[in-house]
Amino acid sequence: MKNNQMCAIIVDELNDDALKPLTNERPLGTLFFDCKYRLIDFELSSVVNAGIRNVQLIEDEDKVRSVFDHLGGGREWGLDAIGSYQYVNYFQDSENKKAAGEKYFNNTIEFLEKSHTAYTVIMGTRMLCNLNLRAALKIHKQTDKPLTVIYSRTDANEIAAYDSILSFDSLGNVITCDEFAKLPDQTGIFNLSMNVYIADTRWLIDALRKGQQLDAPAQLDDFLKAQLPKPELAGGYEYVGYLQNIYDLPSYYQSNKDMLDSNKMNELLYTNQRIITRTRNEVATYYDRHAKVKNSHLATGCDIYGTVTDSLISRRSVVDPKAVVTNSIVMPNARIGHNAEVHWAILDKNVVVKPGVRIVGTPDNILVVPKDTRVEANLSSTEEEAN
Amino acid sequence: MIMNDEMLGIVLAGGKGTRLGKLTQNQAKPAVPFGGRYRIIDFTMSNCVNSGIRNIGVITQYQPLVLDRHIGNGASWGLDRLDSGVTILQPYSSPDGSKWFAGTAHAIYQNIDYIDSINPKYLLVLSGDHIYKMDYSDMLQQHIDNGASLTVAVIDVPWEDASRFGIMNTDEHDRITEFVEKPAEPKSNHASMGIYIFNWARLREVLVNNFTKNDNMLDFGKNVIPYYLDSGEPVYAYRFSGYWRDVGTIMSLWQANMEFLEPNNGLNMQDRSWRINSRSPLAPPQMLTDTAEVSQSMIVDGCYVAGKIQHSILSANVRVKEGSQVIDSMIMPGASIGRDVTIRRAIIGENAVIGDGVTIDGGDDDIAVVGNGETLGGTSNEE
Repeated sequence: MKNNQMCAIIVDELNDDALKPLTNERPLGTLFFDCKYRLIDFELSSVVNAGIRNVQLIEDEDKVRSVFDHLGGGREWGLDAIGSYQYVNYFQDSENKKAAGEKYFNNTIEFLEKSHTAYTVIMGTRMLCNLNLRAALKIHKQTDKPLTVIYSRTDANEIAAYDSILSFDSLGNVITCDEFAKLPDQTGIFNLSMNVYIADTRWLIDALRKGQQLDAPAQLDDFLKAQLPKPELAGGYEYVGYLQNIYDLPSYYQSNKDMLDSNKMNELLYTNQRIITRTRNEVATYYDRHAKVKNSHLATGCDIYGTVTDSLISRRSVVDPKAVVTNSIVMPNARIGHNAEVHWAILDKNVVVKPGVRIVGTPDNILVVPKDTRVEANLSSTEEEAN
Repeated sequence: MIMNDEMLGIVLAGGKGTRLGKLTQNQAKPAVPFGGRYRIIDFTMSNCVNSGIRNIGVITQYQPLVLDRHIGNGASWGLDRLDSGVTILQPYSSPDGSKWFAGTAHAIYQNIDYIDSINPKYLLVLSGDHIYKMDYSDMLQQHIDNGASLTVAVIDVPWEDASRFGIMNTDEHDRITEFVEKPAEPKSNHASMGIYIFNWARLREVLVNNFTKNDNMLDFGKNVIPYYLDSGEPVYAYRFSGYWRDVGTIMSLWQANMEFLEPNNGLNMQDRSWRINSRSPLAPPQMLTDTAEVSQSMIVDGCYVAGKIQHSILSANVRVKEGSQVIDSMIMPGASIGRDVTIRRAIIGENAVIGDGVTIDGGDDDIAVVGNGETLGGTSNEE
């Protein structure tokens, strides 16, 4: 079937310490983005926009509740129809099986075999982008190599220490795949691997079968990284659209703030690839007579009585009279009390800021208030202001 | 709450809504957008689901496309389950000829096969064009307690307005003694809300007997209720006292939208125990630029606002460019408003395009209307 050329494996992020406390209970994939999305919506949307029907997610078993809560039966993405399925696997499963001396890729192999697709897409959740997988597949098919890695020409200051940097020979073969931290020169522009791969499914199954007998890395992304430099195995496809590599709090904050730049927003959200997310029934957002809102994004279900500038406010949040929110990301169901102030901060879900309380971060030190916190005293990211 | 399939809901959504003019040129009245996030029928649909009704038939006839698409398989209201469903009932042809619906009761008669397939004890007949929240299970309980054959929901309207409504005169037990359509000198102010609970077996009998002989049972208000009263059926009134608006005219539709903006308008939309659900559009968050000025207004997903919005509602995917102002108005989904536009006391239809510099003002006594998909003034290509 023409529509069923690819299946997809979305590998969420295990390495999310730098995003704590936001990732204490949720994986990176279900972090909120631009008021109403979760990061994994971008991968899932790329996948279903390319007509892919079979999707496996690899998640951290300790944080899966938020994933199921968001995806439900997959209706919004059309993954609940006959002939479609999504399937969840756990990082821990392959690690545990490997430790026990069992065949640790068998779950993945079974998924690949059942999908009956000639090609497989493997993608992480850390690279925020709007990727056209049909176009990437076209390039993959033109090469005679079983593996294509998608990369972006990226400045060093947007690359994490543990990111993979690629180099190619003159024929376009990947020849090296190195950890950024290990490069001798870490300035300039690099070929950043976006952790997105298109593989011939037959080759992938075969490589996984052999790999699990040869003590290969148990995680699929590590496994593929190790494959890349093999002679004439992998080619590259350069992605040139909007990309934000989300690996720490500043990069996460920046990705959200980027959406207030209409060019960047259009590039990510208003292309011909629709970004699909869980739909919610909320009333319209209400702006009171005294509300002052400038250069901001808001989701539905909010009540705004105060001032909001240069900020992103998620659904069901309330900004009380005379409260001021600037340069901040407010996740769902927050309550910013009368006369309270929030500057340069990220408020996680269900945060309550009591009346008159000041939360003051700085551009270089964004304050993060964890989920369900009631903030009753001033918070500041600089010592002098905190009292 | 009575939780079973005792009662089937039938929403009469086939009306033309002639008095809404341009707004119902390409869609039936129940499909007209309301309150930024909704279409009018969402209130009736949600009331049904919240009242424990699991099967709903929606009778359509006039311009059904938008409505059909909106209702879909009912998933937006949780009606896509094993034990529940929504069925769109459109006119059809059969060996007996075409089954167009010549009236409200005739539409029920033409759909007897559907109703029999659900086999309810009670039939709840609703019109899909009112804005209100109501628990129909409470009405059913009263219907059962009264031993009624028919219960009609009524709301007390101001006496000076009573002559515009169908008025139910009742005895001290709320049994209806007389029904007068638009009485010149009303004896009561209990106006029919167009909400009926019938014992299905009896209504079926009445409809079949009469339609077998002639076509004199076409309409509930004109024929069926008078017939029930004349033949001594126990017909009771169910008194409703909450917020209820008929939005059948441009002015009343505009007014109800303006009331919707009032924080304490009686609908209590924030009450999560009685939510009004709708089909949600897939759209990015609303975006207010540096030049936006928004007050006393409601805005939803997909909107781009660079102008001044005052005491107005913007529905999904509306764009208002810099230098424009929207005052006391309701903008329907997908409308695009250019630069330096003034819109005051107006309803702008779905996907209308208002070119730069245009002024639309209903004046102090009227409401201006721009039709669905209508283009006014020149538009610039720059985006």
